[in-house]
Amino acid sequence: MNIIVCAKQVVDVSEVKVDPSTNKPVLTGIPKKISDIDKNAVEEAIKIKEKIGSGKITTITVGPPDAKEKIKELLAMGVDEGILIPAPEEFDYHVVSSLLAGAIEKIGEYDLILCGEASIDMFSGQMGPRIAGILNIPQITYALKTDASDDRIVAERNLGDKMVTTESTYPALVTVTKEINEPRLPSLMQILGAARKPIHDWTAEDVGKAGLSAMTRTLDVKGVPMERKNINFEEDLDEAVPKMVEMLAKDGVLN
Amino acid sequence: MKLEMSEEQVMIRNMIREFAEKEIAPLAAELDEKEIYPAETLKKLAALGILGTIIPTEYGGAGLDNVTYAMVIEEISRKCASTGVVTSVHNSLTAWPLIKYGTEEQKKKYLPILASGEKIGAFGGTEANAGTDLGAMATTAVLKDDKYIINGSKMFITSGPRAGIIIVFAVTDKEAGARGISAFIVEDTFKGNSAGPPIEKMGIRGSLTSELIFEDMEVPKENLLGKEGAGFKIALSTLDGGRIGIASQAVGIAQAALDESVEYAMQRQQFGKPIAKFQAIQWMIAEMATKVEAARYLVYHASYKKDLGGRFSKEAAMAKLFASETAGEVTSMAVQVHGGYGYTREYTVERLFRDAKITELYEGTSEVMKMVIAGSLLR
Amino acid sequence: MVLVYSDNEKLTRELLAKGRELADALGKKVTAVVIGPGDAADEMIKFGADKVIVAEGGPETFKAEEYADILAGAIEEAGSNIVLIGSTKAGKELASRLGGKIGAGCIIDCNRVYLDSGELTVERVVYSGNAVSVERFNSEVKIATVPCKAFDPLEKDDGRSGEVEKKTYQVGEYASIVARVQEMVSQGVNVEDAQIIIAAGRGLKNREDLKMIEELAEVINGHTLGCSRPIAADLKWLSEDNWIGLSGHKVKPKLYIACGISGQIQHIAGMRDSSIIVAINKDADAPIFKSADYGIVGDLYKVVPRLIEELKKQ
Repeated sequence: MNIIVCAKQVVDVSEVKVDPSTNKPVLTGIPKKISDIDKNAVEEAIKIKEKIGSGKITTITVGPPDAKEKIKELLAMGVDEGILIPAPEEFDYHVVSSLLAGAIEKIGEYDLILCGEASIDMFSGQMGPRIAGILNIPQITYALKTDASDDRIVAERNLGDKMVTTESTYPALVTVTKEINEPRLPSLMQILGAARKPIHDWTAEDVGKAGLSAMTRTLDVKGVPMERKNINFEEDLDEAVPKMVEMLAKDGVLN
Repeated sequence: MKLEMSEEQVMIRNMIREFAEKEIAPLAAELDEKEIYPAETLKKLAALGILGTIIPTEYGGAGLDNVTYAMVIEEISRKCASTGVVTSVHNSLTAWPLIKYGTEEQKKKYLPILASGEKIGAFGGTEANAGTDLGAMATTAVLKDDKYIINGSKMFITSGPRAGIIIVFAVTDKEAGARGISAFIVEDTFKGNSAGPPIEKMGIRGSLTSELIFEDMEVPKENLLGKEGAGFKIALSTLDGGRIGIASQAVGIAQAALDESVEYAMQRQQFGKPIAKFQAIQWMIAEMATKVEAARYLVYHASYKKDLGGRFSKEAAMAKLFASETAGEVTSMAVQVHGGYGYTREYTVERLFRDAKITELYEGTSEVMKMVIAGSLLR
Repeated sequence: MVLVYSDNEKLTRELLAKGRELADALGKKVTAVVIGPGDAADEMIKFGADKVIVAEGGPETFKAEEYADILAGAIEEAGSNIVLIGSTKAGKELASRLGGKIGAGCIIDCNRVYLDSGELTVERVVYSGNAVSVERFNSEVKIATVPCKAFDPLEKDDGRSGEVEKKTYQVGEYASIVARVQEMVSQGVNVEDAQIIIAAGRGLKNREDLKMIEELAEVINGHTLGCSRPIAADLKWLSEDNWIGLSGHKVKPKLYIACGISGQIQHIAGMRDSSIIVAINKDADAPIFKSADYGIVGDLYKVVPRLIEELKKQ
């Protein structure tokens, strides 16, 4: 059983604050980590490998050199090998998913690809389905539970209003949710042992994806001031309630 | 001189921090309030290898250095000082003398079960009438056939009612004074060994502390640790290391008080702005942070000296003296920052304030630390 | 051409309104795609579509693999360059796969979609609510997914006419099989992970009244109840798992609705990291209002049922 997990290094969003003078989120000096839900994907991979009884888990990360420290944490958890690919200067979901798909094809022999449902910083959830689209393989998203055997995987998926059970033979790509498991903490011995596991440096050329250009670009990132809005309604409920519901909808918090 | 954590140390610190945040912090208030021993947490710490932090790998431990060990104890204590001291005593006062003075048979027998957490360690040195003054020890051990028969009692034993392996000191030769004390490896199941009820304490209330009573306790001859008469030396050198553990615990408590104060100061509004905007609060926070940092580096330095293998009594005493007094001062300031709320049970600083005091008392009071420091200078 | 697709009827109308606006400004047409039975096709025209493609021959239940193939076919045929897809969970995985498949730029959860200097520009919330990212596309085909209620639908215009065309697109074969579909049963979510929390406080008079709070949680898809100290610690109407505050849990949902909670500092400490806070309290001087984005001063026994009613309409 060969399992590949795509893991992203992100800033710890709980530490992100908005600088009131520039109205920009402050992103420098913020601790970095592997995106929480990607860790769930790693944990699931380890569990599947333990269940099947054999196999190899490889993680692929597109990111800066300092991501190696964080990849080591995954090796300590039980991943066998890590791969780090530097991101080009201009990158987006298209570029990163193409690099990851390229690396997966370079690895060649794989049964299962696991991703977090989304990264905690951007929360787009594009990476898994994009990779599945590029590789033209089945995608099983939002898995709350998996049951993997030698030749197939069955997953219970949370599609918001529905629970959908989907199964597929390999190769397949599965994205997992935060609820699927509790990522393990490595023991002291595992941490010390991680130093002996390899992290390979691959380039865009190595994975046959040199010269990619981004399909989207970010013009600006505006901070959302943390001050409370303090909008109070005191009068007629028939007027106040619909108005507030409308404002909540516009804030994008009702779904 | 390099003052930088290694990649492994960063990973280890992050791992313990995450564990402490998730598994230790949520229990801390209840352990304190109801005097509950952190038995479940100890099992989890064992699974992570933390109960064998300094135990060599060949005996099932992680074989880590003392600087990393100090970081481990600090991070645990930052969330729960009770769990911190139990872990510190287990490693510093039980495993360490075994590693240092134990025979190969003793190490093989006892270190793996300490590392796996199957048995928790304790240290039986203090007696009701013999605290720092080990020479006044009244517990006796008499060799009879292939067993030592031990009679007496030990006071203020951390993990007393729960410990499975206790390093016990007893007088084997009354005439020889300090040189007549010997150390023994005692198991909880040995006939004639019993623990008194937990003593109600001001702080670290989750680390059950009790008296241990030995009534014709039979200890196999091969459980003598080191030579007969070497007990005093073993006790002193063990306590030197223990002081690093307690100093780390003090740093953890002080760091927690700082964490709580920073958060509260940013949140608490008075006169229409967060109290963090007031200079009176800012100065307290600055002073607290500086002291905590200074204490931490003294602890690292003492740990580093221990790793080098030479004498480190003075450095350990300095670290414990400064760190424990820092914990006292910083937790008091933290209560001050919190105002009246800080005096209530709902706020963590109230517990921290009570927990801090013990660090100035056990494994040698601040006054004893000063004796040790002065003694090493004025000779 | 602007192409619009969602599996949600209301959301489709909202997308049609935005699609109409963009198409009019660019002098283009709006095409809506329906996958499966085309019963709603005429309706879509009345809500702003110029043309509706009813794609037949797809799978009976949603599968992103096949649906992406169908949309790829429709895009190629219609020559669409702006594709608006509803940001349901299914919509998001569909849009992303489609982006990967045809190599197009895709941006998820766009709260705002507009033309700036003639260029399609979108805004989305990032860094867990701390920032808004303004983005544009470099690709020919531009895929944006849009959440519910970001835009208002147009008034239905019975006089509008348009073309409805049935089509069958080439669909690939995939090894995945949908084995079972069930309605989601509401289940207790860990408050610390919850996205929406409805919390009750001392303003609640009887234990039975929790039903009302639960109903609110239900209609808002929150499923997660929280409470202040008295409800958990003193009255024990809810367990400590629901207790939010300094001694309880610290939470950071995107929406926190405090019903009858006065807002003691210990409670605020547990929920202050929420993105949006709504307070309902009859005491206008209750400290909770200082920490809230939206406050309704009124009796929660009147406000909550009214709120449930309003949310049901949505």
